[in-house]
Amino acid sequence: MITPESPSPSIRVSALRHRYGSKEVLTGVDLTIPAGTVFGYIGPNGAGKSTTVKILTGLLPGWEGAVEVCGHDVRRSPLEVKARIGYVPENAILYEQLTVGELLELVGRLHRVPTDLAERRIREILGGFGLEERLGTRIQALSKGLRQKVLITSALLHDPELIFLDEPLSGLDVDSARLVKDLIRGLADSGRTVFYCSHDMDVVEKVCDRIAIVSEGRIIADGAPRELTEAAEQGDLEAVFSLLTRGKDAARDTRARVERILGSLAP
Amino acid sequence: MLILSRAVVRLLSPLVRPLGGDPAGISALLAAQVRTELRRQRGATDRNTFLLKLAGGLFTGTFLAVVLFLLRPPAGAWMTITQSMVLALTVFTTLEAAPHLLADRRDLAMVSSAPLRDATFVVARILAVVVLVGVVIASQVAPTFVVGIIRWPQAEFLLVHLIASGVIGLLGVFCTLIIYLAILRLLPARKAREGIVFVQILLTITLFGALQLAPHLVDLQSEASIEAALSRSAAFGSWFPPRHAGEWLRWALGELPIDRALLLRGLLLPAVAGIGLLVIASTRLLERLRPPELGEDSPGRRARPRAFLAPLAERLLPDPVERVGYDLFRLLSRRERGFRLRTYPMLAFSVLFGVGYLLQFSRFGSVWEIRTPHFGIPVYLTFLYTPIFVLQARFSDDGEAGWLFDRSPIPAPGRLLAGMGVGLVLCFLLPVSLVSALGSLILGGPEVLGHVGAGLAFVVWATLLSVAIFGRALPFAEPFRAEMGLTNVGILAFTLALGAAAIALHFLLGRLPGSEWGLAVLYLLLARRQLRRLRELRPRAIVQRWFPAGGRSAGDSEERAAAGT
Repeated sequence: MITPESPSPSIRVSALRHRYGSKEVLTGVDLTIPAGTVFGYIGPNGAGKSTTVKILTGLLPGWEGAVEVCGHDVRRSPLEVKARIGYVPENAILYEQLTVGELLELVGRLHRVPTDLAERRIREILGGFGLEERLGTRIQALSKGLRQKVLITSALLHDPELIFLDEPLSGLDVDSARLVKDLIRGLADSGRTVFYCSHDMDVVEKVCDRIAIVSEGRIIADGAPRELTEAAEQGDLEAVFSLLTRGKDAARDTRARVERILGSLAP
Repeated sequence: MLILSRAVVRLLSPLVRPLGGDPAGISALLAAQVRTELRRQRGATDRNTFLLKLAGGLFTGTFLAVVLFLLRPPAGAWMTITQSMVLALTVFTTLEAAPHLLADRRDLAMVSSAPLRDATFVVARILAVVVLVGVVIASQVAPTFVVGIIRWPQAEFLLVHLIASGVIGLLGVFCTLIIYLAILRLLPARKAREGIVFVQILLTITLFGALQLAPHLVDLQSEASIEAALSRSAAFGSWFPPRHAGEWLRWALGELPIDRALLLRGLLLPAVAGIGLLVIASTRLLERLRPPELGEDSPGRRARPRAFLAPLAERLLPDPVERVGYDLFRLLSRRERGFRLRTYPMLAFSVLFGVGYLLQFSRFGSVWEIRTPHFGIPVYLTFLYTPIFVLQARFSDDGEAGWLFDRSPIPAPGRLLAGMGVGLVLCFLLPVSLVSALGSLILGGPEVLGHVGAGLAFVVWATLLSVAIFGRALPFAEPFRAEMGLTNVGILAFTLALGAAAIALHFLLGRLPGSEWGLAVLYLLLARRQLRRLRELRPRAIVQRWFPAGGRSAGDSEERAAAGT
């Protein structure tokens, strides 16, 4: 919800609909995300999260509704949108034969970051991640966690206003995950917006200022984590999520499935 | 092929058990690898790589069969030539297959944690190579066998041909694997992989050079000539297995008395090689095949562009996006194994082809005049290899790697292609054309500079034109080529037509003094225009066509599945 004093929202979505073939995957999504927010976007598999992100990042044509990102209409000015956003995908395919330094230089050039500035940022951000000695390491030699850090670096290189993160903590060790969580908080505090997609409810609950739960192509809950847990009278976000997406019998259903698996192991 | 694999394991189980191997385990591992290989796709293409190899073997065999049918060499020479090709193809196919079959890491985690002995793992891996390479070799042997049985419709021929192909095929596989594993043992994993690629390229060039030069050195229709050639290196000649096969056929047909020592030598070689392979492979193979240590590259140093090309590239490509295309192509073409294997030998081929043309033409003394347009032809001929480079040039085998560009504010993705096109010209086509040009200049003198210049300028323009025409399917993966309706035949036809037209024009205008310089200027102007057109290729034609859904995340497939698409 935007208050009259807040800056113009980072994301404004109205009546967003999209279909794949004959099936509607987004059935009317409305969202307004103010700047300086860490916004969690969660939902079960197939709910429409990825489709939403692709539309917001200007990749998917053929949708209905109105979408404005960083003050620009996504349909009319996709390049303006792309110039202002960063994106960290899950399971990104990278150029394995490039070194870390080469990949980041490439990204910097694609975003037209001046060479000196790009080099300084690469040094500083990688230094923050403890990767400054990996500039000459080929991507193929990096572990999942290190690749994730390189991806996050690439998303921040051009100082975006809005950053899309899809499971950014995947593969990270405890210390690195803590670092990234603090980084996310710091980005929001400095006025940037973070759009956070994840299946890890614990992290989402701790990191996000506001959460939207999407199911079957529409938003079924939207608010601060505490508001949602109180309204649903549940102990944590995971329970709220289960209740809203699978119904009251979710817990019993899960128990039955576990018993079935364990039962198969009995001699 | 699964039935064949099981039969092979059953046949070898009396040998395998004493070594500590478990036939059931071997059979399971072998079946998994064979299934994977039969379904393996190259990058994101729908085409089955194994079927392509079979088709390649069949093509080679048919080509050889036609040549042998026309040349009609005597029996011994026939068998020697046939088995030499079997040996060559076996070595190439094994070198290509060994890294991903022998060093297949996909099941390593599972195998390491299962109660399998090393012997089971080792034998399964080796058998996977033998079975898969064997089927490819069989596809090559079949056409030559048909031609041979027509010429010598005798049971002796059938027997000798089958035994010789089997023995030499096995020998080729075993010896290649021994060398491969020895390299793995001696060198760090990454250097070993580089070494293997280097050996493959060198062998390909050597084979092509030998095929080009052989008719000049040896009369393939004379047994005595071949004997003389092999006898020049007595040690090599007496131990060269295809020669043994030639001798076997001559014995079988009654042309020579049997030399039992030679017979034994020929049959013992693969047995010895097989034992050697088991010995070298059995020691900690699992351990040696583990993924390379993380961070094995030298830290803290970024690769710099080569000094003498970078200023030129920056001048030709002022836009940073264009330079991204150029640098990405340049770096990947130097490092990507598949690209290097398929294109580096072509660099040598095009030079050999041009040199061959000059040598051939020098026999026609009276026509060999100074200032003749012929001196430009070796350079023009370089263009015939352009499609191979253009079609192999890509940023990635996986189109999903394009997400980086999707998410970037690139107003005209055609600029990436422009960068790649300039990279193709500066890093490949122009250097190799310059080598051919040098040959022409040495033979023809500075007077032929204009003809050579016209050829060079044509190669530059024609390369950029090829990128533009085929470029709608670039630069991520060749599967998009199929989507764009471009076939190999169409591409070949275009190349031949354009090359022939350019050569014809060069000759037609050859009598006009200074025409060669005019052509050079014309082609350079066309090249400049073509580069500008590349830059202006509309985004819709490239990015959205390739990535209608804009890349993939973990949720993509689920959402599409939920939508039933």
